[in-house]
Amino acid sequence: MEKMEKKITKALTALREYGLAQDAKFRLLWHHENSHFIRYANSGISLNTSENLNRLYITVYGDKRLARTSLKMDPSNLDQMKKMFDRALMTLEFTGELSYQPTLSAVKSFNDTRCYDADLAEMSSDEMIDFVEQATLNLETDDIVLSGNFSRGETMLCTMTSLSEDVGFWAATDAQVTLVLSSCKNKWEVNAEQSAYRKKNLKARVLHKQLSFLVDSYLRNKPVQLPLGAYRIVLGAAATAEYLDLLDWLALDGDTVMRSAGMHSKEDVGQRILSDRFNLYDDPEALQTFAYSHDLWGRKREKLALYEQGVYRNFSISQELADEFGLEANATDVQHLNLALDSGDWEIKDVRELCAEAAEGKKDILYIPYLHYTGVVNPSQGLVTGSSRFGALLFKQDGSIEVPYNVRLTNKLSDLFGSGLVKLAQKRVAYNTSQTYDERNPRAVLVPKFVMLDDIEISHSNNSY
Amino acid sequence: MKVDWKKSLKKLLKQGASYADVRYYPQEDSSILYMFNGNLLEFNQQQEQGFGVRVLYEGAWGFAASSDLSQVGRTFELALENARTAARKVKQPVALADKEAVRGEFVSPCAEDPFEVEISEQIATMQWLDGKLNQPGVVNREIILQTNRKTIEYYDTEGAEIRKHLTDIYPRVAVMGVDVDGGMQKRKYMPPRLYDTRGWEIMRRENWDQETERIVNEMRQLLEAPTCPQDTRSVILLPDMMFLQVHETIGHPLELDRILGYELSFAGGSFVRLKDFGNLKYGSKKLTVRANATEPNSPGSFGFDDDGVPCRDCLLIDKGTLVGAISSRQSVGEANRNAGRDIFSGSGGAARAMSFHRVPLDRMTNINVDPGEDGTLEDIISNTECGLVLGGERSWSIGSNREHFHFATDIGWLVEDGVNKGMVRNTSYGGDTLKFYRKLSAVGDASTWELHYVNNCGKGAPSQIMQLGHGVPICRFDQVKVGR
Repeated sequence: MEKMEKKITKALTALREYGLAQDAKFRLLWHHENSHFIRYANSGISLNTSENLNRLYITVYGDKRLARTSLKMDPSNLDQMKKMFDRALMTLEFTGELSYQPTLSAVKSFNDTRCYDADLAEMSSDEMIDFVEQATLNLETDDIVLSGNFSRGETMLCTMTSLSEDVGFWAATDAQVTLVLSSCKNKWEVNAEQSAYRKKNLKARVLHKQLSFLVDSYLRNKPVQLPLGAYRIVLGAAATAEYLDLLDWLALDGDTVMRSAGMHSKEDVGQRILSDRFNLYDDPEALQTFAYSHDLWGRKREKLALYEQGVYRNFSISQELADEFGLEANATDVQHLNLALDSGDWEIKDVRELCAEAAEGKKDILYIPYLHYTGVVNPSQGLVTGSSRFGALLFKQDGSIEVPYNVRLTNKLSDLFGSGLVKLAQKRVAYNTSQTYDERNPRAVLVPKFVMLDDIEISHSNNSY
Repeated sequence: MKVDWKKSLKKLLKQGASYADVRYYPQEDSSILYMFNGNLLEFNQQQEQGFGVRVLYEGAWGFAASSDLSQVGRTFELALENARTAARKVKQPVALADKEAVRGEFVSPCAEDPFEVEISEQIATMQWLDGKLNQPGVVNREIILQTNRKTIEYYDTEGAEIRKHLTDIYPRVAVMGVDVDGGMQKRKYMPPRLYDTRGWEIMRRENWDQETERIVNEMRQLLEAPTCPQDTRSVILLPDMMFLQVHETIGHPLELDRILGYELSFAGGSFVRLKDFGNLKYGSKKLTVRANATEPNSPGSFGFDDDGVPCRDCLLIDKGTLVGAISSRQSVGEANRNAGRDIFSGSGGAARAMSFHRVPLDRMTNINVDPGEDGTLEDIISNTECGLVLGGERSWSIGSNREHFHFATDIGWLVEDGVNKGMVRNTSYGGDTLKFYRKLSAVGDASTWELHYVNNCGKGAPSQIMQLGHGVPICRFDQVKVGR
């Protein structure tokens, strides 16, 4: 890491000097990733891939103007970077006048490597394969095959501006393991996942335990098509994280809020929207979420209440959004918020305990660990839809377990986490929500391991796997 | 820096690889311009270069990519190392379907290169569009202009040498307003194929005059329109919705790698099985669908795929019966072996990678529905007892095996007894894929057929975005649940 940090800083310093010589006002952001990805399909390794990429983002500022260029480049090719700098500068005059003045502030030095683990960065392909073998030991058969992936990598961000020589640096390592066991004959599929920023947090036996229980449940118990109607539902971490991701988009993203594209307006701040059990924060100390101690302007980040006892408290305000709408930036110029949902007082450690829970509550419990391909039906209403996947189970009051075919949930977020929210587990886990469409940006949310909801309607029920 | 790619590939063969290919992107340019309520919030020009090398060793794939051309030797070695390690766990060795080693070139049709248009002209065009959209009742205006131009050199150890030069432009405008219940309503327009070429010529003002006026008027009407009823009726999908229906419930489930289980950990599987080819009644007899990568002027037509296979026109569904899939050399080789018969006659030429640093997957090309004989929109409406005309995709959510779906649309019009009874808002519909297509009761004629471009199809792990096309007519489906 140190070697790469020096290489990046040296290149940025040289480019900064080039820009200053042209009397430009600018901000530079370097993104470096070293990614390794092993993909499984049909019980074999279907791909083993490595990517080593460097990206540079250049923003130049003028009088009520800004222009951006970016490039994916050879890190030693300063000439190429200078050309893209020139292009940004050249285009600045054509960009048209904004209705506001974008702010360029000096980055204050910071160096945040709390989520960097050299052991994880150096983990070899063989170690990754060994890990997957342990996690799936004796679970594969001729019919039950393994799919999934083990993604690990290192990400570095380095930023400077024309206003000072200060350098902001952030680095993290991340691993995401997704293992799927599926029946070729019957088409059911179950999964187990793990997210970590340190190698020592990767636990193959935990995955094995989860997969063993789910496979056994799917082999032993009969499948059912659930009747449509209202259910008591327990969400697993992946499903809760998926809903929080949607909430992030529709309610917490400042752009969405200020452009009236989601479920809240600025005037909703201070209003009770969700259950008083619902406390959601942007927490820079939640390291499992690949946390940022500072935003990319070098502003120290503090724990920011987003919903507190169900009351809408804050949304993210980037510097550009603050400039445009006359607001105050709240240190959220980061690649992702560090979302952490408070735990509750529900003492539950394992999904098996839902058997007793159903009997005690005299109500069947539909366990939905994962939501597939969610969509926003109506953003103003926060109405979202998605279907269950990867190991849903119906825990019956009589102690039996059934395996439901996938069902679709189409509900308002304000109902799910409002009147519908019954209780949250004491134990929290990090669920990885990284998108890998382009650059590596490890992200995770910290959520209670189980969240119980009541009277939740199922809008569609499959008649087969 | 000049690199001898063929020499590097030969070295891999000497080191034990059975096959290898390299894709080199000497330069890829792209730009995104985003104007919101007159402010040009995003003006981002991007450039990249790099290469990716794919190696087959003892039936296992290894891949490595870098943007650093000083690391060619190391990256090739790493790809081979990765393949060697992957060979530790091979259940079925990769077997590539045969192909001819072609040498060729493909240039996408473009009359006016958008990267040669002065920036001032691009912005002036956006400002003109913004002026057209800035009307009473409109609270938010969006204009997005995405352009991309790339050159790709492809070499493999079977002797293929291919050079491609692709230019694309994806403009989009949208208007938003607040309805009587306080909800945000939106109408948008993305031009379908307009000419024999796709470059800056798409931005000619005569292409936008009527369409901007139309979406503003429709959005204003939406603000006071009643909400969509919750019931069961026929839906008549306009091409700007039908393309998405086809994309999600025909295109994706017929990707052969998905059928073979290569996407289970992320994107999902398919309800289709190998035994279904030649047998499964996918839809009514009115449904004929093809993956036509030779369709002129579309991002789904690219000359040669990233296996070095020339583009093809493959029949997928013939008068309702499933007959083909979207495929590549690997997936065809594996499917034929697993099925114990030659279901597919060679690769469908649909192996495509998003960028130099991602591996090719089985991707859609132009997934087109043949036009039918049921006339125009007016003809179809006049023959519909109880229906809902739907346009403009708003949201999409699909089951993990593509067996069911739920879509919301921007706009709808109720049809009663063959008459359009007016606009409704907050429209949605859903159903089971096979039941839905088997209830296809009307397919519009060629005058209703439009080729729509898609620039954001996501798939794969690691994830990839792809560009493609869908040529579709207006279609009617019966007994569909709407308004939920």
